Amino acid sequence: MPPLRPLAGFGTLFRWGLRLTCRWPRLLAIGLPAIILCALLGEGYVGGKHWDRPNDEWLDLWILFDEGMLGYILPLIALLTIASGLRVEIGRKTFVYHLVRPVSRTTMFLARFASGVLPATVLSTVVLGVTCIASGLDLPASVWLSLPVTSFVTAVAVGAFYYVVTTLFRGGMIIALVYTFVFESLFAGTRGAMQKLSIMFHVRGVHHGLTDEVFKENSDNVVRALDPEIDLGSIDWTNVSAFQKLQERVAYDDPMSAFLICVCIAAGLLVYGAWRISQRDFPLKD
Amino acid sequence: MSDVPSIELQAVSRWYGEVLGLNEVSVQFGPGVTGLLGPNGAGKSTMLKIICGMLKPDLGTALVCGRKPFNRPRVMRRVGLCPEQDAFYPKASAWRVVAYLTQLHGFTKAEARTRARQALERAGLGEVLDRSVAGFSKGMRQRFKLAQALAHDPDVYVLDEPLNGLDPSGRAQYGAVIEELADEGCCVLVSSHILHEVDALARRIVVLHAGRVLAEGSAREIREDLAHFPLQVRVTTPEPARLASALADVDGVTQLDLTPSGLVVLTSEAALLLDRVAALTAETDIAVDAVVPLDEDLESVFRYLTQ
Repeated sequence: MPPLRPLAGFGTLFRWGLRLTCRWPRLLAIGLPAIILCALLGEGYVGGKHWDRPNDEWLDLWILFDEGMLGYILPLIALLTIASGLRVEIGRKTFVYHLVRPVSRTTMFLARFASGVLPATVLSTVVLGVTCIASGLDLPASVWLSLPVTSFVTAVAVGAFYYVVTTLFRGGMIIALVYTFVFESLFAGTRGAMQKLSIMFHVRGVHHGLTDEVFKENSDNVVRALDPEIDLGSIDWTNVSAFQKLQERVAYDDPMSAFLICVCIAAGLLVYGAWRISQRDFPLKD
Repeated sequence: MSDVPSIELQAVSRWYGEVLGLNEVSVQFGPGVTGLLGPNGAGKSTMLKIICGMLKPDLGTALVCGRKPFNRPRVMRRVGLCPEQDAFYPKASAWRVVAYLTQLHGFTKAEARTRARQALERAGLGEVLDRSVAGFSKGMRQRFKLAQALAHDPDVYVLDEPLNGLDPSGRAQYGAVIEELADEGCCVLVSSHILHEVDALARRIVVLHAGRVLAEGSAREIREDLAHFPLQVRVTTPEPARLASALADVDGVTQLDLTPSGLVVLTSEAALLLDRVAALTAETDIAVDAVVPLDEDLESVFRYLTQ
């Protein structure tokens, strides 16, 4: 009997996973609220009045991407599309049919992750695109091209974390939500190198590396927000809390380094998850 | 890897925390049908899950066709499992699911689809290929589970409680498929907690109880071992007291209880008791409405075997 090819069965598992993830009711349930929310944010938040900074549409979109999109919406899309891939199979015990096939557990684990990453990337790109359109700003091609990259990096990096915790732990979904809403905010709010413990810090590194030049060209406020040396006292605004918060951030790595860090985080998590899955018993009792 | 389909357990033990699932079980299964018999909690499913590589033995070695099955997907080319779990994809048709699972064995899409259709037809689901498994009856789901095990043409079959929920004609059809597999030289392991089910299917029976192999052999050998197994029999008669006194001296009768539903007799010689009851109805005016064995179930057999 010949040995198995590496990743034998990956394509079949990937297509099946994609089929399960991309059911219309499921996609609509995740995508439609996100698209509506982002359209409203793009239209209302960008160009709206803000108490803590001057009115500047470019700055608004820059902050919306940084905080709203990369802080919550994209991670939540990744959570809803990627996290439950294998957990659902284990939970409803259809995993039992897979365990008796000539397919390694590592392949199953990786294929189901990949089948979540693709729809998460597409959906996130659409959501970011809707935000850009709704903002009404004339964005250059480089920003549009950065959207699928940012979406993909988010899906891979933070998606890998969600996928591993939900697959390995029963309360994984709760862990993932706590991570998104508590730990990510906590890391983002701390000063110094602690910020680098956040996965999204590195994803933001990729996003900002690809788009900041465009925003700087169109907004002096973005330039000020990104310059830690600037004397905020010289600015004629009564309230500069948003700037102070932005300036307390550690400088991002260059986009290629940030991208590689994201890939390494995802690879590390996936290797650990695959190893745990391959060592694990699956009684799958009724 | 051995060419002959075989399963071998060498002193296999498995714990669930402090609960012992299997206790130093050593047993071999070769071509043909073997029945794995035991009450709930005997360790049948644990044994089958170890054989299918879903659980790792804590001690001892499990071998399928000469290779350890845990996390060795290569071995699974030769294994077909009909699981006990009712696990289904809610929206997918039976044919699509079987085709998908068959494709995981390396078949092309077209070949997997053809095999899936053939397997479902062989399992008696030819008319409902395109229906969702979620809408199937319990019996149809059992056939579906058989089909997905058959489709890739393995030579080691592990069927966990396969006859649960099947009607008599379904059982007959399922039994015929199992016989065909045995005739083809496959190693078929069928688990059940119902004695007559296994008796009808398997030439060899392994009795498990509390994680240990209690008895092993053909159905006849086990039956002979159980020949003196004390049996409770209820005799329904309008005159239980009179009948009781007439049966008191029959060899093997150790207890007589007058209950509202009839006379309950505990005997180790059921044949002698039946002969005597028949003689009494013929020779005297004692009427007997019914004679019903009360504990032919497996639990009582195990109680006897463990004594």
